[in-house]
Amino acid sequence: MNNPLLRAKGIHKSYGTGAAEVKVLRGVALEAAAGEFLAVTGPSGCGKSTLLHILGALDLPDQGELEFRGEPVSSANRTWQASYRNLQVGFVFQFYHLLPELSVLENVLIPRMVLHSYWGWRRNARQCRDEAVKLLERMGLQHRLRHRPRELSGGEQQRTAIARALINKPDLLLADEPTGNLDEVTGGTVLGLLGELNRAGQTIIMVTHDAKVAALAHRRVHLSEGVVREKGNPVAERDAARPLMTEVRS
Amino acid sequence: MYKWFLVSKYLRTKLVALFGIAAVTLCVAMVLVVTSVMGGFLDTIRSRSRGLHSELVLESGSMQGFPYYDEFAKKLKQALPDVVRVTSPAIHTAGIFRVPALQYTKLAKVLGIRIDEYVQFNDFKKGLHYEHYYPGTTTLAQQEMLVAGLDNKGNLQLPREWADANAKWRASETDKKTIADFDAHPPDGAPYPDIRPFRRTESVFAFDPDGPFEAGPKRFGAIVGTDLLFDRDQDGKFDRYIARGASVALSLLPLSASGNPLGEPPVLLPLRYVDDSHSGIYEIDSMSVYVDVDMLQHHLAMDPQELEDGSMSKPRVSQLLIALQPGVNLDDAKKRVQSAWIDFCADMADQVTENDAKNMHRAEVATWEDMQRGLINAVEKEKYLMLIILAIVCLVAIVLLGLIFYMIVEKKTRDIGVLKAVGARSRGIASMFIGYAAAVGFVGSILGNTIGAIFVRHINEFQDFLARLNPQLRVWSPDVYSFDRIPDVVKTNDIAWITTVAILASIAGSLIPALVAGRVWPVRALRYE
Repeated sequence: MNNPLLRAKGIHKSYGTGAAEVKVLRGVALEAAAGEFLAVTGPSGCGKSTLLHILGALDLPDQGELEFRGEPVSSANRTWQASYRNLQVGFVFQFYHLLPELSVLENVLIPRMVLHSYWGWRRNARQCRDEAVKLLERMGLQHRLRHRPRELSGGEQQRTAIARALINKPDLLLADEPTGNLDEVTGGTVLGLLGELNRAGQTIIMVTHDAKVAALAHRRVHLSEGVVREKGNPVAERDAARPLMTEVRS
Repeated sequence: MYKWFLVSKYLRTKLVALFGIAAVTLCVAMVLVVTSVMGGFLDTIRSRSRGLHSELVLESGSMQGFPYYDEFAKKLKQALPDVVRVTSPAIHTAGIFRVPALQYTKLAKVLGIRIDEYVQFNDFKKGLHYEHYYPGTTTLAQQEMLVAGLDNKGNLQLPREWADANAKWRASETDKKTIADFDAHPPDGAPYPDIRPFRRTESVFAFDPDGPFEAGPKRFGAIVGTDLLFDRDQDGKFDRYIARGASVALSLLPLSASGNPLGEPPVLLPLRYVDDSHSGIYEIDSMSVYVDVDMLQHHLAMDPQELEDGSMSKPRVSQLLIALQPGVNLDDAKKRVQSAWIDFCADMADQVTENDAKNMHRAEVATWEDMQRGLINAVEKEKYLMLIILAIVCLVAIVLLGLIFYMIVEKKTRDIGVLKAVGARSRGIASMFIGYAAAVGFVGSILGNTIGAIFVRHINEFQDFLARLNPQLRVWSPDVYSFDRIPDVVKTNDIAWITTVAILASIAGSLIPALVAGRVWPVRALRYE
């Protein structure tokens, strides 16, 4: 792949030491092109989430290098990595991880607040709010702006988390089992939303253990025994999985 | 921006933060109360001590006093005109104070003063009760008892001298409520003699319906320490149960120049109670009786006495009070006056008797601070001791805050992971918790200072309230703490330093948990259960 958006080379990661050491990733190599929807599949405990965390600079590999637009990520300093997490990557977690004290709108605005200084925020607050409201309207949550996460359904929480991941317009969206905690209908809504985003040009790497969900991606890789392998005919399987995707209704 | 935003959110929504604020509030309130009361205690001792003494005193080291005080005073004014403004002799001795009509007897510290000069040295005049409402009427000279009466319409009529003085006070008093309070109570018609007086809120007169007139015989006046004669009522006001001008008496023991009792029966000195003095220092107000120095000198046989060789002894006093020129350094003036006294004694060495020489050499110059050194030092040490104890309490509060913030960080670990996942830096997370602690300290300080200040301002009312419920609950005893009222002034600079220390202590308490929060790796925080 020429000039991939993201390139992981020889990623190793293990937990524990000595006899208790578990080698989760054993030289993972992965590339994702801009605009691609890539699914990483594999059984539970195979290291999918670990790989996604490393791709999002939430964790560091023991060995190997991650590059984003040709820039090293894993070996960069922590300030650069923080900036990478803030601006280049958006993260969607299986358990949403919304801040419980904040409203939906405030949760979505948090990455933008991280971006701005106090005075920068004072200058741009109105514009940021408008963008967040538009994003939440796009997620079908315009009636939930002032609600707290505990007042939302699982699907609404996940859509809020997606809006939060997108507020800084990242190049890459990383989704860790985004439907893993949702029922089939709600999960379908979230998947539909991811599909829409991808069609609008958003690069997505999604981790899932569900082959049907993974089939929605352009490309699938399977993680097994610590390494990834390309899998199947993505286009044909994707068409077969279309019914899983539900359009978002406001 | 997220730091400010989340700090304000957490402050409003986290119950555990309220515990931190409560801890800071209680500590700040406690420190402010103790600092204000102890600091006020010390300040009051200093200011009232200053207000009761002259700047310098040439103090006899013995009860028989020292001679040649007039000569030395003249020499001082000539030799040190840039240092000494005015001098006045004084005598202090022990006596037995008595109110004959009540058969009330108490040990007293008798001070002989020239009142017109004495009021130039200090704030003595401010503490005189009748002098306040009837300015110019308090005198220690011989006088009769002034008796109020009724006019043809049955209205109270004061003796002319009092009526004029009271009119002068009314003209100068700006607070109309004070005048209204003064006039509030009508005459109760209690008849003469002096122990059953006519009473107004603030004044007690001898009363006879046929008055006003002056009732003899003439006697020297005595100003009595308020607590020596009167008790406070439940509202904290003195219950003046004897009339102005009532008969009182002092029993005195005259001493020779060598300090021996003169062998005669003690002197019984009938006087008139003309006013009472309230300095606010219980030790002084419960002991002191002020009389005319020349009269006292005569009755103590300290005036010129015929000696065995037919010559006359020199008059003696216990103190020479010395007021300084404005702006003169106290310690420097003390050294110069002491030096002048030593030179004076040397010059007089061949003219004085052996007893006089001993009495002169014993006399020393002291500042007003030296005169109260024991009390001031004791209170200063007590204040420092309290501050040490409070410092330990504050350390406990810091540890408590540390634990509270450790709990907060533990509870917010996943939120920290989320914040890091969206780009927050370690330093930002740490500074957010430090800012959180500073906010807890700030809010706690405001609440603590407010509660502490309100408590201090109303501490006397609070004590009076408790005492009304149960007299055993009166915690401030004037005979133990010197003052009749608990100091109730809060200083702005005390609030400023307490607030600063509280915020810094809160930050110190949160420092370790904040650093731990900042260092946590995002993925570990997100997986935290």
